[in-house]
Amino acid sequence: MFAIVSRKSVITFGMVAIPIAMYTATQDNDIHFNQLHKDDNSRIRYRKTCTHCGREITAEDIVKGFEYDEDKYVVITDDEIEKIKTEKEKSIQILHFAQLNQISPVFYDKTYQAAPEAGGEKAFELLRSALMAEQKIAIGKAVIGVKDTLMAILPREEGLLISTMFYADDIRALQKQYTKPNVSEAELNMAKILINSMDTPFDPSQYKDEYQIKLHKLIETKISGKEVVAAQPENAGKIIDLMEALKASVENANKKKMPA
Amino acid sequence: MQKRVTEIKGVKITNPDKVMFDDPIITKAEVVRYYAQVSKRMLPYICDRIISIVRCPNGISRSCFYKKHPGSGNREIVTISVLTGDKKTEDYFYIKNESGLLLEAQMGTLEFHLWGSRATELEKPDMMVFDLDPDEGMDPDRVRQGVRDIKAILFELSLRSYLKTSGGKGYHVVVPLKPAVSWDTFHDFARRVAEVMERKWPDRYTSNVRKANRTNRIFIDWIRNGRGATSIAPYSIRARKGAPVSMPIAWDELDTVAPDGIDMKAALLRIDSNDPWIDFFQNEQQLK
Repeated sequence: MFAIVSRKSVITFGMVAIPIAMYTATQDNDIHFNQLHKDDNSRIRYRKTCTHCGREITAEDIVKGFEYDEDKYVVITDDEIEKIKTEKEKSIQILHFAQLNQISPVFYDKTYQAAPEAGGEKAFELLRSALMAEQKIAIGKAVIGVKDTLMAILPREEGLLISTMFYADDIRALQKQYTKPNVSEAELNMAKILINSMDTPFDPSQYKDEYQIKLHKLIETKISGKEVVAAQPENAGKIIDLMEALKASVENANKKKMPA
Repeated sequence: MQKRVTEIKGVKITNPDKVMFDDPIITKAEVVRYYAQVSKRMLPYICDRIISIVRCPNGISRSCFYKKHPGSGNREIVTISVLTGDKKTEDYFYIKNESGLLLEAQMGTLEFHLWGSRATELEKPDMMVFDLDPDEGMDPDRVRQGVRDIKAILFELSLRSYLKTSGGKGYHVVVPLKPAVSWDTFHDFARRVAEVMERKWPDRYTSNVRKANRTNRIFIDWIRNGRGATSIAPYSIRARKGAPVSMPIAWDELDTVAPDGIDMKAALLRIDSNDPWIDFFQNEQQLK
C-alpha cells in the first residue's frame, strides 16, 4: 500500500511557517457496483450534453459559471481563482488553540495525516509535542478549492492529524431534546461499575466490516461459477464453538459405558 | 374428635388425622408414612445436603411457609454455618437419616428443596438440575421435545442425565457429577448449556428468566444451579392440590407421564418396582 500525497501546504502561526504534506488518512475499501443494462449487461453511462447544441461535452470544454441574473452567467476560470488567493490563504493559519476534549466530534469532517516537508521537521515536532503535552488542538483556516475551510490540527503520538471542520451553520440542532431525568448516586455507581467492567483499550483492528467481507465472498463465489447460498445464521458457528468449549470442560470416566 | 398420637418407625406423630390435603383427603399420618416408605430411595439424594423446606402446619389450605434456617423442633437435624455473600455467616440445616426426615414430616413439612452440593463438600456442587418451565398453556408435547433436546445436548457433551417430574408444570433433567469444580464453573456450565439450547432453537427455548421473553417458548431454568439456590428433591411431595410428587421416571416414560402426573399414592405404587435412577450414583462424570 502506498500513500498518495493529497496536497502540500504550510502551517503558519505567529512568525513560524511549517511546510507540510497532507495525506488522506482513510481509504475506501468498499465494493462498488456498476450499473448495467439488464438485457445485455452493458455499462450504463452518464453523458454530459450541451443544452444549446446537443453535443456531448468533455471535461476540458467545461468552465465554471456563476448565474448572476436569470440565464446570465459570468465565467470564472480556475486560474482566476488561484490568482485571488494570497499566500496566507493557501496556508493553514492557526487562529487559536483549544482544549482537545472540548470539541464535539460532530464538527470533524475529513481527516488527513500531516508530515513535515524538508526543513520543517523541527518546528513540526515542536508543535506536535507541545500540543500533546498540553492536550490542546489548533484551530485554523485555509482555502481549499473555492472554500474557506475551518481545520483542526490534532496531536497524536505518531504525528499530526488535520481534520477539516464543519461551520456552526452546517451543524443541525439536535432534533429531539430530552429532559434529563434525575439519577441517584446509587444508580450512577451501578452504571459506572458496569462501564468499568467492560473497559478495554480501543483496538480498531478488532472490528471489521463483516458485510463487505461477505460481499467479497459472494462475488468470488459468483466468479467461480458456484451457486450463491443464503447466509447461514451467525449462530450456527457459535453453537459449535460453545459446544466445543463445553465438551472441553467435561471429564467422563464412564464414557465407554455410555449407551449409543 | 379425640386427639390421638401414633408412632411411625419410632417417630411420635401428633395429630395423625390432621388433614394436610383435601380432595382427596390425605392426613398427616399418611404423609409421614409416605416419607417412611420412600426414605430408602429418597435419603441418598437428600442426606447431607442443605435443605429449604415448605411447611404447612395446618395443611395446604391454610398458610404454608418457606424455611431455610434451622428451628428447635427437630433434634435429628444438623445445623451448619455457611458463609454468605457479604462475609456474614448464616445457619442452615440438613438431615442425616430417616428419623430426621420423618420428624420434619411430623412437624408439617411437605416439600424438601436441595442445594446442589453436599455439606461435606459445600463448595463443590455435584448435582446439576435443569428445570424446563413451559409458558402458560403450552402443548405438553413441546415440553417433552424440550426435555429430549436438552438430553441430546447433554449426551453430546457425554453427560448422562436423569428425568423426573417436577410435580408442577415441567420436568427436571438432573445431571449427577463428581464434586470437582467451583460453584462459578458449575453455574457457568449450566448457563451455557441453556444458551446452546436457545441459540440452536431460538423459537423454542429461552435462557432468559424474564417472562416477556418467554411467550410460547420454554424457559430453560439453569439459575437454580447457583450457590445457595435449591431445587425440589426427588420423591418430595409438592404442597399443591392432589399431593403431586417430584418423581424420578425412566426416559421411556416421558411421553406417558405428565409433569404433575404422579401423586403421592401413585408414587407409593411405583416404589416397589425398578428404580429408574438405579445407577445415579455410579456415574464417573465431572466438570473440570
